[in-house]
Amino acid sequence: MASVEDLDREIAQLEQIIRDDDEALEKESVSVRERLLLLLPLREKENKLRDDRKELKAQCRPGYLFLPRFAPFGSSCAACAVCACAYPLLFCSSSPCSAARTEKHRKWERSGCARVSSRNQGSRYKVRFTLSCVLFELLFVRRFTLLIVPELSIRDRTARALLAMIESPLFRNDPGALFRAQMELLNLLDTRTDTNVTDAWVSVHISALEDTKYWVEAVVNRKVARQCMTASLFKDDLLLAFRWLSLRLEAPTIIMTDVVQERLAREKNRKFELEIGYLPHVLSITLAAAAGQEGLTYALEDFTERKPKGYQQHAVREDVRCLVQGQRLHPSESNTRVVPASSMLDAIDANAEPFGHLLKVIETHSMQTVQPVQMCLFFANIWAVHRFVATYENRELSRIDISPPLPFEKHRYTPESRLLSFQRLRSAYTNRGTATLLDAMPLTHRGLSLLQALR
Amino acid sequence: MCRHVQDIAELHGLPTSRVTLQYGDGRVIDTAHARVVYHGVRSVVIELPDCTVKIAPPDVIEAECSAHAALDHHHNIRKSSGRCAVFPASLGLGGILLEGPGLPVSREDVKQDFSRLFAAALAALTYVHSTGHLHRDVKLSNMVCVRGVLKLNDFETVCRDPSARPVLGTPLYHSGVHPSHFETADDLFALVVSFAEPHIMDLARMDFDQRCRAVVSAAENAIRVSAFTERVSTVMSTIRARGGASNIHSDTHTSLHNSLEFFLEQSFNAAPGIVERTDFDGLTLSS
Repeated sequence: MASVEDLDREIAQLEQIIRDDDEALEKESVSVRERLLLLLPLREKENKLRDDRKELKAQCRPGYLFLPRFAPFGSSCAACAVCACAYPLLFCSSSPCSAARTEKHRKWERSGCARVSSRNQGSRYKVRFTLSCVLFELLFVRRFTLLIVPELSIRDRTARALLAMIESPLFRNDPGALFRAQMELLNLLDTRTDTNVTDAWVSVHISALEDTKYWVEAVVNRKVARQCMTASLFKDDLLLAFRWLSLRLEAPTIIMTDVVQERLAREKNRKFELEIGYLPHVLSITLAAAAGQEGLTYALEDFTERKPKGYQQHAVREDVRCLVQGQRLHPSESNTRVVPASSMLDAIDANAEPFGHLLKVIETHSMQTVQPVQMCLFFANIWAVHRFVATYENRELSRIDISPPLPFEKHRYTPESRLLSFQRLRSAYTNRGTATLLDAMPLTHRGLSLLQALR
Repeated sequence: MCRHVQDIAELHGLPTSRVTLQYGDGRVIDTAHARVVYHGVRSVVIELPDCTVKIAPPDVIEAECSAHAALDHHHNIRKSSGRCAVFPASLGLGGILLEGPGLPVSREDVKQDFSRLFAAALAALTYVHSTGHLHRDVKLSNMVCVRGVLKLNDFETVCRDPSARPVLGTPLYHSGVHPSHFETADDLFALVVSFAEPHIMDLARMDFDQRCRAVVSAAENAIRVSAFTERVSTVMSTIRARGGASNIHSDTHTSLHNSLEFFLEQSFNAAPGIVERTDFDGLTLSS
């Protein structure tokens, strides 16, 4: 879709033709007028979208994003945005959607008009979506046995059907449909969002967004400055050595046989491994790094924590909590891998999943209001670690720095980011059948100082 | 990560952690020129201009202080001048002040000056045994040269009680004779292996039989190379004549013990005044 500026430019040219060139007007009057008739409503719509966006930006509550209502969040929702048909919204990434795509849809997609929406289309969409939810309730929730309870309003029934749909295993592999359902449930249940919703825009709590999509919305689309930096030095040799010693003293008691087995199984059968088994070890390392520091400690994710009101899902807890004077700040996140890319910037965006999660944690817990600089840690299991620093200005994300640099091109890991050695651990496991954290630790304390250049 | 912690502390105005060492009387030790010289499994050694400090968990420091109290009377034993406290206390570490600075004994040193270093190490170990203690972790990295004199070091595994002597130390130097019980002979075996090791390639990869043969052969070569004494050369010839190299595989333990017995006996003779009598299996030594 052309921007407002492009439309303005083209309309101005056409008006100029009409005003100045009578001959041209005579020859091309039909086409010029038709074109003008097409462009003027489009400009009006684009202006409305822009005004809505400005208005919503002012109204949007902390923790909420406002997005174009029919923007293609899901894998194949773009086709649905054209005609606002409800059926593909529910099953948008399944085969019926693909099959249902008509030539008209594809044409509209190619022309880039997927975001066009109108009040009528919105209404049709709402009606069809509601009917689809009721149908879903009949088919899957009530299992053909019960009729709709008459005293429930259609809003309640829709909400119940949406909830059942979110929890249903049928849609577990369909993130696009789940997201739509979550978004609609939010609209139905949370009255606060009603003020932020128009036919063109919808506000969504950021906990409802997938980590990767949130990264794209909050960082890539807003062109937030982000870069990889070299690590800075930590100069207190004694403190470093003592902290490393305290980790070594504890290491023989930390059994890592399961971790080796998991890793070896990954190499044989699976592409990725589970990160849960690593988190206690990550905690041990972070605790050792903070040994002797008053007012600062780390703790594991609190699984007993209740979901705060208004959250869409409980996906906004960090893997390791950093507690500064008892206050939860500077979250740490672990992932099973670091994704290399062709350049440093691409490497950052390629790891959008953990970084997007870190941003979600920071922003859903309003950490940026407490401290405008959030220094997070990102572990690739326990084999490598990077620091992720998010800087906020006026509560707006303004800059992201990552150090040491993420792997890119043929560089797997920079030496500074390496924490422990899997090769050493595996050889211990091969020799003895068991392995401890001590086996994975190099003799020197380079691992713990990792934000220190090699000496 | 330590840098990360420091940055967070600075961001929130938390007191910055600094390591402070204090003598037993409360005086602060100047650590401005401190240098970490050794990272052990359970300890870190810091070198200061006038002394060396070993940092380890409190139980290790306690054991080492007790050992020093009993053993610090021989000139081949590294002396201690007391404990030191380590702050922040939450690190859970303690320290012991040691004679220093000391240079670690390297393999090259052993190759070049085998006889003098071996005699000094043997004298120190004999003294330890004479007081009824066992070292249980004899190896080159636990020996240092302080002002040119070899000193036996690292007494955290020293024990006295004969009824409680589990095998400790580095597995590479264990004799394997008594898997769960440590004897003076095991200390001596570790000493010989330590001094033979520089002449042996891939000791860690060998099984016990191979290691025993290699030790005997290397000890023989080392003594020959260092032109120890004619008498010792004769002893080594005797070892060879008793089948040390060719027949040791048939009865490894017996041959090795016999070989070591002669080897040590003649070494004692080469350093007169250290011991009066040696009995490898019972080993009662006196100064």
